Amino acid sequence: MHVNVTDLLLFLDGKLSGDRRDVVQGHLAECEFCREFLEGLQDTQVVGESDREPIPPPAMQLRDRIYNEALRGRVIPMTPMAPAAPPQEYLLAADGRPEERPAVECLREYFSESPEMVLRVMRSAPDRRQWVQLVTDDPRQAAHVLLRLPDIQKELLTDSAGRADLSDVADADIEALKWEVKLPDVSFTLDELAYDPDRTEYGGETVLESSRADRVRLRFEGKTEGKLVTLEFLNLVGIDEKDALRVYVIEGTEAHALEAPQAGRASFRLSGSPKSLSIRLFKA
Amino acid sequence: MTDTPVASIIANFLRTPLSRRAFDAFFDLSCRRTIVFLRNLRARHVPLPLAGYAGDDPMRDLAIDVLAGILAPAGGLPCPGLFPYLKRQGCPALPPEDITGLESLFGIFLYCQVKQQISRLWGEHDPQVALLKRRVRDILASSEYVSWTDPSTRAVLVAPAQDAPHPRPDAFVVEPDMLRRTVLAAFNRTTNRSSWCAAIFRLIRDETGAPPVVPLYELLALMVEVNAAFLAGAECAPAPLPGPEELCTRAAGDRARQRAVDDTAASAIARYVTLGRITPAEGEAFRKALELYLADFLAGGSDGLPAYFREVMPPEAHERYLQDYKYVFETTLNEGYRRMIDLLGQSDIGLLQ
Repeated sequence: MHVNVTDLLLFLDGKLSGDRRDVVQGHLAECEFCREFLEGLQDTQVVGESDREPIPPPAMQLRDRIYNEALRGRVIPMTPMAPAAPPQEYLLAADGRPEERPAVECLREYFSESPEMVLRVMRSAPDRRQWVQLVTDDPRQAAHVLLRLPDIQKELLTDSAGRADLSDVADADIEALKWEVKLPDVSFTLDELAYDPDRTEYGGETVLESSRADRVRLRFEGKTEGKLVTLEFLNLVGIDEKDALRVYVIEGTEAHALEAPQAGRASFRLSGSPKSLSIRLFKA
Repeated sequence: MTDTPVASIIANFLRTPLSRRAFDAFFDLSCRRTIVFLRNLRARHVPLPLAGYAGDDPMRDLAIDVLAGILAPAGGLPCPGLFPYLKRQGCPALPPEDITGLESLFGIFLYCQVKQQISRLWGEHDPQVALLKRRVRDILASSEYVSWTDPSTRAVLVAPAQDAPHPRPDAFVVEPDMLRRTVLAAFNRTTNRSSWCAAIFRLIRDETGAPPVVPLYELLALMVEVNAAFLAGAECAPAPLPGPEELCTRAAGDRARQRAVDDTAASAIARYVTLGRITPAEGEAFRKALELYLADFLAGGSDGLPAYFREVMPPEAHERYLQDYKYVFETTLNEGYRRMIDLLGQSDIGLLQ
C-alpha cells in the first residue's frame, strides 16, 4: 500500500514519530508514485503569502454567482426565536396613564442561520393590520420570494421590500404557525422593457437567459393598453414537465401570479407600462 | 498543524455553508490559495492551460475558472466535494469538534482539486496525462511484452513475451471488470510503473491459472486513469464497474477504430505510397500511428498529432516532420478520425448495434 495523505503531511511537517517516519522514508525511497505525489504536496505548505493576495474583481462576481446558485430553489425552515417578554406597562407619575403602545409591534420573530434571514410577524396597532417582514443582508434576497405556511398550506409572495400582507391569515394562527422561505428556482429579468407610448400597435419577442442557461421566450402582442405577453419556457434546468410550477410576474414593483403553465407556455396581460419585468418560477 | 484563523474560516463554512459571511470568507480563502498554488505549479514548470486567456492577467483568469469548477454548487451546497472528503479523512461530524489540522486537510483538498480542474481545462490534450500515457506505453512496447490484433474482435491484445507463442489457444482474455479490479490491486502493491505492469499480468495469472492476455488500449486507459487520479490526490477506491451499455460502447468503438484504420490504409495511405510521397514502410508506420491516435481518442484523450509521429518514426525523421511529413501525416490521421466518427454513427457498427 502507498503512504496515506495524513502521514505524508506529518512527514513534511517533521511531526511523524520515529518508527512511522522510518517506514514512510523507506517507502518514499523506492516508490515513484508517492514521491511524485509528495512533490506536489509540498506546494500546499507554501501558502503564507496568500493572505496578502488581493481578491480580483472578477472573482467577486464569481462569488456572488456561486452563492446565488447555491440558494436557488432552496426551502429554508425558519426557527422561532424565544418569544420576547410581553411589554411592561409603566405608569407615568405625572398623570397615572399607561405609556402609549408603539404604533407597530413585532409579534413573533423567526430566524435562519444559513443563510442569515430574519422573519418578523408585525402588527400595526391602530388598525391591527398584520404583515410579515423578511430581513436579509442583501435586500434583493428578500424581494419576491415565497413565504410558506405548510400547516395551513398557504403561500405568500413578498414584495420588493420583503413584505407580505397577512390579512388572509386568521389571527389565531399566527403564534403557532411554522414558516418556511422558498427561494425561486428560476429567475428572469428584463431590465429595460422597450415600450413606445406613441405606438398603438406593439409586437415583438425576446429571449431571456439565466446564468444557468434557463431560457424563456417572451412574445408581446396587441395594443399599447392591455398587451398580451406569452411566455414560452424553452429550457428550465433541473425542472421537468411533471413538476408543478408557480409562476409570478413582477411588473415594476407589482407582482401577480399566473395560471400554471400549459405545455410550457403561460400568458398574461401587462397591467400598465412597467419599465422592467421579472419572472420568478417556484417548483411546488 | 495548529488551530488558526484559517481553520475557523473553514469550520464556519462547514457549519453554515450558506451563511453569506461564512461563504464569503471561505471563498476569499479558496481564491487566494488557488492563485498561490497555480503560481507554485508554474514555478515547478507544470504546464498550465493559459493559452486561451487573452486578458492582462491570464493566471488570475485561470484561477477564476479553476475556482468556478471547485466551488460550483451541487445539491444546494457550494464546494460540495469538501464535505465527503473530510469525512473520508476521519471527520465524522462537520465541522469537527477539534479543528486542529483542518487547515492542512483543506490545503490538500484544494490543491488536489486545483490539479483536477487544470486537467479538466486541458481536456483531451492534458500534457501530464500524455506523459503518463507515454511512460506506460513505452513499458508495454518493450521486449517484455508482445501485442497483436485479434482477427475476430479486431482488438489489439498484449501479453507477457514469456508466454510465447502468441496467440495461444489456452490464453485467458481478461474481462473489463476484472481488468479494472486488477489494475487497482496491482497499483497498491507496487512502487513503479514497470513492476505495476508485471503485477497486473501476474495477478490475472494467479486468479485464472491461465496465461493472461489483456486488451492493450483498455489497459493503457485504466493505468493512466488510476495513476492520474493518484497524483491528483483522488482516493484510489475502485471506480464503478462498467455497465452493459458502456461495454457495448467500447466494443463498438473497437470495431469502428479497426475498420477506420483499415479503410484509411486502403485509401489515404495507399494513395500517398502510390504517389511516392511516403515509402511503404512509412505507410505502415502511419497506420500504426493512426491506430494509437484513435485508441487514445476512444480512451478519453489523445496527444497532439506530432507526438504520434515521434512514436512510430525513427529519430532521424523527426527533424524533417514539418518539411516532409506534416501534410501527409496529419491528413492521414484526420481522415482516419473522420472515418471512425462516421462509422460510429452507422447502425451496423456503431452504438446502435
